[in-house]
Amino acid sequence: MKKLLISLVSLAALATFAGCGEQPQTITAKPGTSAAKPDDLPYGEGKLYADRNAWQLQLRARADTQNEYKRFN
Amino acid sequence: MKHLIACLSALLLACAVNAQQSSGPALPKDELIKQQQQRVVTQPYNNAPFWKEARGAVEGYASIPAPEAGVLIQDGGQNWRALRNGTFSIIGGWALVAMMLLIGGFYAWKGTIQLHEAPTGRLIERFTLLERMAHWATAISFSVLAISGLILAFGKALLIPVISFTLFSWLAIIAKNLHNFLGPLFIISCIVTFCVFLRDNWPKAVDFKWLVSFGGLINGKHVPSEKFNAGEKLWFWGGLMLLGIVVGASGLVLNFPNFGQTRATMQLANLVHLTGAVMFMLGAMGHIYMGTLGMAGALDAMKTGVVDEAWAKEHHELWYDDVKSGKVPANRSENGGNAGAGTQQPVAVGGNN
Amino acid sequence: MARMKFICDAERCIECNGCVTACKNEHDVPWGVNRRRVVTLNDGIVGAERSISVACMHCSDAPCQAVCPVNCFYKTEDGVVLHDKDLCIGCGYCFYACPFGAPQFPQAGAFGLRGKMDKCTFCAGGPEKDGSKAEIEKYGRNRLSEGKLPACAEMCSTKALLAGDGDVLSDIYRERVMRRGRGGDLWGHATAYGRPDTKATAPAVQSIPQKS
Ligand code: SF4
Ligand code: SF4
Repeated sequence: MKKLLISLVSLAALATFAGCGEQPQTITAKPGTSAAKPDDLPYGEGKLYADRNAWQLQLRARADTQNEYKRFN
Repeated sequence: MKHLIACLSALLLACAVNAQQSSGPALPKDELIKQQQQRVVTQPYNNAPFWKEARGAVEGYASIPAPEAGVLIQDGGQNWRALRNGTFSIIGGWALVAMMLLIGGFYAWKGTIQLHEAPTGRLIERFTLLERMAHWATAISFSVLAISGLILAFGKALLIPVISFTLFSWLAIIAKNLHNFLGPLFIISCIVTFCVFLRDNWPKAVDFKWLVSFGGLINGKHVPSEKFNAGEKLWFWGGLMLLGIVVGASGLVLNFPNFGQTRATMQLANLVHLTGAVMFMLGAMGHIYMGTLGMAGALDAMKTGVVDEAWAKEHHELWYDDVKSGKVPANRSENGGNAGAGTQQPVAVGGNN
Repeated sequence: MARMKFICDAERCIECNGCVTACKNEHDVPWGVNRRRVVTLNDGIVGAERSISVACMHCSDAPCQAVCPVNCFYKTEDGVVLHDKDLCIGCGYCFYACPFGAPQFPQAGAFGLRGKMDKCTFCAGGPEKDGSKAEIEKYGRNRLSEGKLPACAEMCSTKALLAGDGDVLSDIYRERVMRRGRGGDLWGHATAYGRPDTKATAPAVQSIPQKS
């Protein structure tokens, strides 16, 4: 009984150890993936853009429209 | 031990207060406005003074009626994050582990402290129904708050790897709601418990003797104590009252964010709450240990309200003497609640004449 | 690799709140929740007044993510900080940690009980399927997946607020800084709203209205 209790207490203590250090504050999941469920990518099968490159090119072009020096000249 | 805790808490609080003072503009706001006006003339398009104001959490105008909507940057959060995720979690977590080990070690050393004399079979009432109800209301709400608080504080590191995100999120939602709703209840039951037990916890000279030898634990000599020994009184004043106020007040600040309190206030309140809660849990671990595993008969007293005379004599001799001499009635419930504990009872007076 | 960013030009923002309105409208943001807001410092003080539109800045080392007890934040490949409302417990920690006051909470009950956190998504929705009903209801439109940029910036009439890949934005801003104040580029806050009286600097400064 006593032994059981002591081992239980030390087990609980050990478990708490793990929580004490500073945790890396990044999620383990891949980028673009929620911790719980994956976020689908905006390109690929059945999407507007075939691949990442095409999508990025579009976004760049779109961002460039914010440059009125380019728009007017 | 107590010194250590006091030092630690002072340190942590100092850290916390320091951390929250870092925001604020480098120069007085009026000075920055003046500089900005001059810049417009001397160095057009250089808005450095304006950005210093923004960086220093100067409050401006925003059309949104929310507290602090007019503040562009409040940098206290980064300090709060560093302290909460770092120093406070580390020290707090290790303190809890250390206490667990300490108690485990103590149990291995002493085991359950048994009565030295055989029970007499004669019972004395130690706690009235009201007292027990107040105690258990506090105890149960405390336990739920402690466990839900630990889940919210350490669950990310300990539980998510085990039970995964979705399940932990459910657990955390339950924990958060229990924590938020039981918090105010805990404060109320603390107040009731405080009132009910106040009379018997008044510090007396004998308590110092008890404290010096730690209840005879150190030299093995018996130190008589009143209805509550100095350790219990310490828990009453330092735990129930002091930590109750610290944890309760800071908890209310966090629980009711709709009184326009600023983020700086809530960051500080959170750190105070963490510190207070860890100390509260440390104390509670000791208290629970002594009340259950540590000492035979203690739990029964709080469960049934009565103790054997032998137990009373061994652990609370002065109180036992008072009961025997009739200063304190052996059964307060039947004498109309706790009517006049500590005063002469009519029966006893008659006997003396 | 793109790194999505917002930038707001203090010389151009005229506090029209167009971005705020665009955001509200685009995502049907509920009452009381403001993903974007415009802050004006030194309001009414000639020469010193400037406005900035602010929302979630999609931090590289996001404090909100670091303190979230259920770890519901995640980053996209382009550095957009998103969160999963199904996991969020509404504890408010991200709000304590965020320097910009970006996380917002719909009130979900009495006594300021917080609902699920809502914040700027850089018009990139959430973990639900792009453009699905669930995503629109929880996070609003997913413009990024349609090859568009955040509505607030695209809507901005003075192009004070810019959104997109940080490299592109830097180029735009750098060009602006090099050209402004010369030739036909006489735009800017002081041009539009005037300078403090330069001939008598001291009195102008003294006339600053003091908020007590
Ligand atoms: S919510 Fe705040 S802390 Fe989080 S990424 Fe956005 S700006 Fe940064
Ligand atoms: S409110 Fe939600 S997103 Fe913010 S820290 Fe809490 S659980 Fe995370």
